[in-house]
Amino acid sequence: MRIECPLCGSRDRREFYYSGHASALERPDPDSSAEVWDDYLHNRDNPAGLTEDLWHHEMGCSAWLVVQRDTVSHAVLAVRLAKGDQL
Amino acid sequence: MRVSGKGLIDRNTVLNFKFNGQPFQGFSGDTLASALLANDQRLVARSFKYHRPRGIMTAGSEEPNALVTVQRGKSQEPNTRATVQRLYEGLVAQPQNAWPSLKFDALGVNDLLSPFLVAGFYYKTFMWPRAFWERVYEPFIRHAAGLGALAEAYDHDLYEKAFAHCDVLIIGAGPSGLMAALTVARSGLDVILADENDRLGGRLLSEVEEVAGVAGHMWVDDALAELVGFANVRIMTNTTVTGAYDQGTYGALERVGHHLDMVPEGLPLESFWRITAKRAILCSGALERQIAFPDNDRPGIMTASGMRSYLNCYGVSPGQKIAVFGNNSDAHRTARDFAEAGVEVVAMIDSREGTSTQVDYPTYAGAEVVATSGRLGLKSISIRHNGGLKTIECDALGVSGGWNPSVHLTCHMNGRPVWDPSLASFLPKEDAIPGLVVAGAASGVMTTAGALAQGCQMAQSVAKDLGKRLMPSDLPHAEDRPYEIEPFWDVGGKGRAWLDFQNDVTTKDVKQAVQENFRSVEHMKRYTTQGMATDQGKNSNITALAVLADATGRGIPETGTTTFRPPYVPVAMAALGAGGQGKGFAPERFLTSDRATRALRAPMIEAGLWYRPSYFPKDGETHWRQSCDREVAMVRTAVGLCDVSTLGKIDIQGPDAVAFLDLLYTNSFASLKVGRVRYGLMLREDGHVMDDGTCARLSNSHYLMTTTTAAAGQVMRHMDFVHQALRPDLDVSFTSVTEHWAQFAVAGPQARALLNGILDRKISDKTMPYMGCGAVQLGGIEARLFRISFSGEHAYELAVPARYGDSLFRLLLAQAEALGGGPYGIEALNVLRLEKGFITHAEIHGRITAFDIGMGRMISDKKDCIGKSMAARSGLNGPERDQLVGLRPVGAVKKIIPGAHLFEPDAAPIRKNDQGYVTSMCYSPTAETVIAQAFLRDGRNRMGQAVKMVDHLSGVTTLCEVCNPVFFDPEGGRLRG
Amino acid sequence: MVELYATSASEAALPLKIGGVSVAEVATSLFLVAPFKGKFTQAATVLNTQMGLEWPAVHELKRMGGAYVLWFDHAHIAFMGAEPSVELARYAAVTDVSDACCIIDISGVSVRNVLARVTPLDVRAKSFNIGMTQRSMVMHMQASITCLGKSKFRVMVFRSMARTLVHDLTIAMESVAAREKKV
Repeated sequence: MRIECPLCGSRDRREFYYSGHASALERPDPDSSAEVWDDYLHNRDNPAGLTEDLWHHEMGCSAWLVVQRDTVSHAVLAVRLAKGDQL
Repeated sequence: MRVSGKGLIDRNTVLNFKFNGQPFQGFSGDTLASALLANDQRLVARSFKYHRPRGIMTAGSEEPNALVTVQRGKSQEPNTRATVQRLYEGLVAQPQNAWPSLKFDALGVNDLLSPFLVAGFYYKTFMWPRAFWERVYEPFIRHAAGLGALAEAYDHDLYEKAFAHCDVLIIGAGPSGLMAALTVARSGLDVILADENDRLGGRLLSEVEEVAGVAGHMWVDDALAELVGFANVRIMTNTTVTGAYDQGTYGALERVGHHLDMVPEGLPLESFWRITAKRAILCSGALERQIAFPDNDRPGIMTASGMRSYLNCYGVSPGQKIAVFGNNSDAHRTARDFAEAGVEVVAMIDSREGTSTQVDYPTYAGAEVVATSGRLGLKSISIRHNGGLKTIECDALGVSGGWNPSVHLTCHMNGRPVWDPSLASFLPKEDAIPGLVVAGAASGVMTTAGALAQGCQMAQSVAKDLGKRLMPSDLPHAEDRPYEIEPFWDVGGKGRAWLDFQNDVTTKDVKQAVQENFRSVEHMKRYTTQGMATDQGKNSNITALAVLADATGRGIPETGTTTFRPPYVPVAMAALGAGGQGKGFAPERFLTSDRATRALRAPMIEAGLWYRPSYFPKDGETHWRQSCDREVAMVRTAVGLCDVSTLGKIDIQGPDAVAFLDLLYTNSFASLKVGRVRYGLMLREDGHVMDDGTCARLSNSHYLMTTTTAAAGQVMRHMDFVHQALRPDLDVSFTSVTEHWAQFAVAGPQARALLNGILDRKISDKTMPYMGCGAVQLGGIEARLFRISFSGEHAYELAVPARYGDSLFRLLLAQAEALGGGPYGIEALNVLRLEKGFITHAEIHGRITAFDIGMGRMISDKKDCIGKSMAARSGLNGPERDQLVGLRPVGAVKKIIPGAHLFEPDAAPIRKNDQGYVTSMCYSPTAETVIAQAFLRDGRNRMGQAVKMVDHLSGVTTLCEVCNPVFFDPEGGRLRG
Repeated sequence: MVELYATSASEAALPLKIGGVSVAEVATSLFLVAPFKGKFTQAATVLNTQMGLEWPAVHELKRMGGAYVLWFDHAHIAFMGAEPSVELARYAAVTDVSDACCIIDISGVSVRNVLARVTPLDVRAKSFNIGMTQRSMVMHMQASITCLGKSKFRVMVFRSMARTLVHDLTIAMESVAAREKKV
């Protein structure tokens, strides 16, 4: 498997650390209900098809990436920096 | 026997080799298989289950029978296919599955028992009595199972991993692969041409038909000469592409040293390549299949095309009287070539009606082979022809049931091949692997002319995809006779007809599976083990599923295929794990004090990837406890020295540094003054403790965080996440400086005296108070000093740039010894921290909250932090929690064992009575007793009570008193002194 | 006053030459620089005035004599053989990591074949040419790899792993040398 890092280009999967669904980007307000936090931390869909997840280019540029991919075809469709475009 | 005037071998170079203890000779260019056949060694192996005598069946990597063990120096390689083992001078090979000898095999008795050893035999037989499972059945099955044997010695061979990148990967260098390579090469794109043989050309080396007016192998030589001239072409011989993976990644096994008797130093035996290609062209050709007929497994019966390869490529005839049996036009070439070479052809048997041709050897149309004879090698065949039976003497029979395109790689990402009735074969599904196209016989194009044309065409389309426009190139003229076939799978009849030669699966087994309702192809496979041996059914799957389709009354497309998975050929575990041998397994991290430490004979212990000293033995000390106790006392009474550089150090800068720290840590850092250090606790977002450490404020917006050794990587990744993913608006940047600084703990009553002996400017309690920090100088070198303690003593950590680490350690050592102190290791460090009640990752093991370790109040109520919301959940903060306590033994038994569980003194030590568990223990020379840390249900309210520790593994029960985990200096006077 | 001596990261293990490939340790300063928010232009101007160098883009190496400035990671550039000015520190976080790495130069005609055995990077000349710098792995180690010449690369890994770096490169170099001898 290869991931197109927006900074480093196409790289071997072994350079990346996988870290679950991209919903982790949407941290709830501190005083949100326990249900909201529970959802944020623990509840995940298991889609057959499109999904977005987070990968850390740990052995490369150290950027956190949001990777859109297809769990059926394994196609990697789009990759963006989690921090956005600002450098 | 050798056939004069045939073959591409070098008859001037004679090679000596041994098989089964007997000396033989072959020629340069031979494989072990061709050399054995040249020496009339028809019997080369015994089958796996029935121990039936077996001979060489193919001329390629799909070989199911001729598995041998090759001895090379001290090592031996089992399951080497004689058909791909290039012959070298001095080669020594042994047959497998035969005891005591190849000709008389004791387990051949299995063959007589075969009526009982049918499909499902093991499942049905080894069921009862239950007591037999472990002591009788398993040893029996283990003895009978397995192909070949390992040397059972350390494998000294090197296996290498390597990476390659290209624009176009061409898999297979037969006519379509070579033509594709020539075409792409001219575009300037980077090409890798990989072929599993050491000589490229594929079937062109095995056929007599001409290409471009010259012999096939000569056209191959010309093509190679042109390819070698391209700087953008890389040719990888002896390289089998074993798997197709996501995003254009391919696995490939290169056999580097197998043809060498002694592999030179440094040269790997095999290299496992990860090839990344923008596009790939699969030119893997096709494999010929068998027809099932009674006793079709005798030595001397082989594929018709394999037979032709031995004749045309190696100048070998596998027999003196040749018969051929087929259901297609291609089989006739074998009879023709042998007749033309002057070998006697006794029969050309074609199952199709009306196919007799004008040739000067006997042909039988509409006929079939119904029986064979010859125990250790074929002697005769019986055929049914025109309603009668006829016995024909022959010692070699070539069989062709048609060709199966090698679609395997196209199935590696779940693509299902498509049935083609006109070819009676499965063809690759289009776009089954993104970026991969198929050309030549692998795509069902069965003529040389067609393969060349398609190779060229696919190359052009791939080049166009990659933005290169190519001029149409001239195609060499080549044979274009259509391939005609009428499906014919199973002759039927009474005797056993083999499908899978490796696992001894017969047509009967498949039919029986159907009778017992294992009708799905996947169930049949598992019930009969069809296709589950090392050839993975390459020779037999299609025929087997045709038999299955017939037995179930379904068509072949409805029956479907099992799934081809990587690897295409067997790959040694050593090759898959290549690079991971010995020190290649993981990096080793060494402290700057490593050499000095080892010179002091300190045993090293692995802490993650780091090597740290356990203890520093003095003369006369024979047990680690003696050294450890002495080192603890030394720190408590004088001064000790310990390399703590393994702690993670993260340099944090920026106007928002403090806001960032406040988000990471539970406690507030806004109030931390420049030149001061604070203990910090970090949670995961789910409210459990991630790590703890200290953070120093070096200047206004400049902090230095330390992490534990164990969590350094995790914390760095977490910080990257929090910053980039959650708060990219914060103006802060950070980087690891762990390795820039060599840092030493100097602990004990004499710590300040020691430092004042070496620092350029003396320190005092005023200039460097407890939890203070600042820049200092040693001999003019900038250093950092932190007054922090992990021992409970008056202590410092002194950091210098790592280049001075060795020098400073030796200096500190000399100073410490002058003050009655010395170095201490990890054992003493652990005792010191346990005496003081400090925690490590033995305690904060991932299921622990701040409340559990008595730090609930460290979660500031004035600000948010990672994990704060979830830490407040019910269930994480109350008497139902296991809380950190100290333990000491109070009964006769003094042993406390980490991992052991705690119970009420009178309760039965069973799960439902469980009250907690021990995490750490040591003998405390200061308290003169064993002490421990444990998590105990509502522990903080149980001080002074008794609990029972039970270790179910070692059977130890110890009565303990629950106490404050701080055993030493609970007021902390020593720290500030 | 005490006197401290310095030791190099590789200690006595380098230099090394196997077949046609050599490895030598490089003694150089190393600073990481990350501009503060909104201060990129000022920082780039300082770099330009101070050293006459453009701020390196992703994968870029800029050099002026013995001074190198190169892209380092998503946030940082690195100064090698040159010290960032005090003025730069007003606009950027500057961290001295001169002792954090084992820095080696590896060179020789077969250097790309050696690297192909230790890193998953595409090391073909057309993908990784002079003036390019990349972050990737050398075996299991995080590494910074920079192409300094047609057949010369600079490799940096953490200092504590210097022995492992030498070990891993030695095996790859021996393999390449043995193959070349075989041919």
